Amino acid sequence: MDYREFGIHDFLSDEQFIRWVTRPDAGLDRFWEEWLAQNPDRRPVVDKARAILGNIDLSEKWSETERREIWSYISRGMYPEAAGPSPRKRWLPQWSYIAAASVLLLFTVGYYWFFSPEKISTGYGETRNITLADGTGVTLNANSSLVYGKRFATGSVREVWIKGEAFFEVASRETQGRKVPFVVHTNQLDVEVLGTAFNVTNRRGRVDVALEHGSVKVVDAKNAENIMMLKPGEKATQLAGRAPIRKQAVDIAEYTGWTGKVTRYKGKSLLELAQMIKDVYDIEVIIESESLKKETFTGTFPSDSVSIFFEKLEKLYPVEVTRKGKRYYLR
Amino acid sequence: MHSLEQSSDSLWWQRLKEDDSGSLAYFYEKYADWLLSYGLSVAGNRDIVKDALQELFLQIWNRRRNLSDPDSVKFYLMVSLRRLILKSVKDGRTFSETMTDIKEEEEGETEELHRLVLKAVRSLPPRQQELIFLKYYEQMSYDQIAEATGLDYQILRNTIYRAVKSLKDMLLKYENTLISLLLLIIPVRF
Repeated sequence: MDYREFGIHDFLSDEQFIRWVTRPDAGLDRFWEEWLAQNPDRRPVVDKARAILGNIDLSEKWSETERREIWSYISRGMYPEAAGPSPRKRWLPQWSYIAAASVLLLFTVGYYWFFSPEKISTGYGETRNITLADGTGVTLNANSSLVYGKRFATGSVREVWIKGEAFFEVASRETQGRKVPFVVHTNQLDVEVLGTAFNVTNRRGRVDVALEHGSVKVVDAKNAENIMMLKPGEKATQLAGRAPIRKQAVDIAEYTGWTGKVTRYKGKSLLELAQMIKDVYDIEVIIESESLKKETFTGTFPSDSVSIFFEKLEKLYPVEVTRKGKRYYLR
Repeated sequence: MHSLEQSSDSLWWQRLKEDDSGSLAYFYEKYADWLLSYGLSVAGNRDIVKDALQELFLQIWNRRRNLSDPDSVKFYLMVSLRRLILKSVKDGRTFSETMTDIKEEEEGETEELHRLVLKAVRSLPPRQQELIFLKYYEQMSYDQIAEATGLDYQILRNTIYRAVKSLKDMLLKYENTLISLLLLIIPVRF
């Protein structure tokens, strides 16, 4: 097979190429890096094919209303006898139908009470500390939600779902001499741990997992072979669900600092900070000059006050901050 | 597919066969959105997918005592939903003319490229959309896809080849955007 002759679509239908982009391993990396080094003129074609492949995200969601409608249609169909008076001749006294219906109702209500998941959400500018039934501590950042099942602490796996950002201190737990795994699900990555502390951000199609201590395994929810182990001080990132998981050594305090009163940032671009402020406080920061976007910020950010941050920014940089309602303009 | 996921799925599946209605709710919670994503690539019409999904879950409930034990519940749901959708299409319900609404995505440049690719995929014929979903979104092998769709291996490969070729042609119209976005997409190696 001569890859030199390949067009974008040829790469897109080549199994080896697909595997390299979606579930790379050392061998594939070596092969393609060498090939690209020998054929530098083909790099634009390869890059375009990778960009397309990394962005095929066909996920769709039911609206809350649709979800409810569909489920209520299904549950009506499951117990047709509960749907209303039957045209058939009664062969039991009426009270027994009423009794049966109330038992069914009780059962259903009890059922939902028992199985429906718990959901804890935070609004903008709000953080919450939660202790789960197994002793695991969760600090939920603003504009985030944590979901877990009613039987969270009794199952063979402890599972939670996170949107937004949260810091976990997982309590280790054993049943019958076996450690019970703790799994944090995000839109695209699952984090599997036994007992450890780490930070998860699941926003705008990007997932970051930063480990403070212990060890975790990060697994692509779509492809269980795409796995990455993290050591303390390392961060795993996946963009938009399709791209490979990337590993990076980081200053862990930058990722966990929000759980305290102040967050320390080192060389964070103003554009990234603006994004964070939007996520956490629902305040739009519009940076009007291109050069300002790339300016970096090193210092502390008070968790409870955005305005102090802007005051500080005005002192540090030749920048003018104007506020219009929920928007801040930087010039 | 996930081994942890599969083992907990098969536990719930056993409970379902023993009349546990909560298990059905579990599978609904877990797979409703995924089945919508897949269903739309087969039918391109939300209402058809909605009807098929309702029918699928009722059928499973009504036949719960005679269900087999699939290796993967997700795969089983997928193939069954597909059968129901194709049946209702054949019975005369037509594909809707309107394409799936492209979601109003969040701002940001990676999302931009996302949207371009999504738009391009959604304008392909249904069969090609389904194959793109299975091959690139679900990352199934050609053999698995052949098993799920009943398509001949060679036809399958040719159809996918044709689909990516039209995808590429559509996306090259946006070549400038594509190039300017490349820097953001290509993973940096550490």
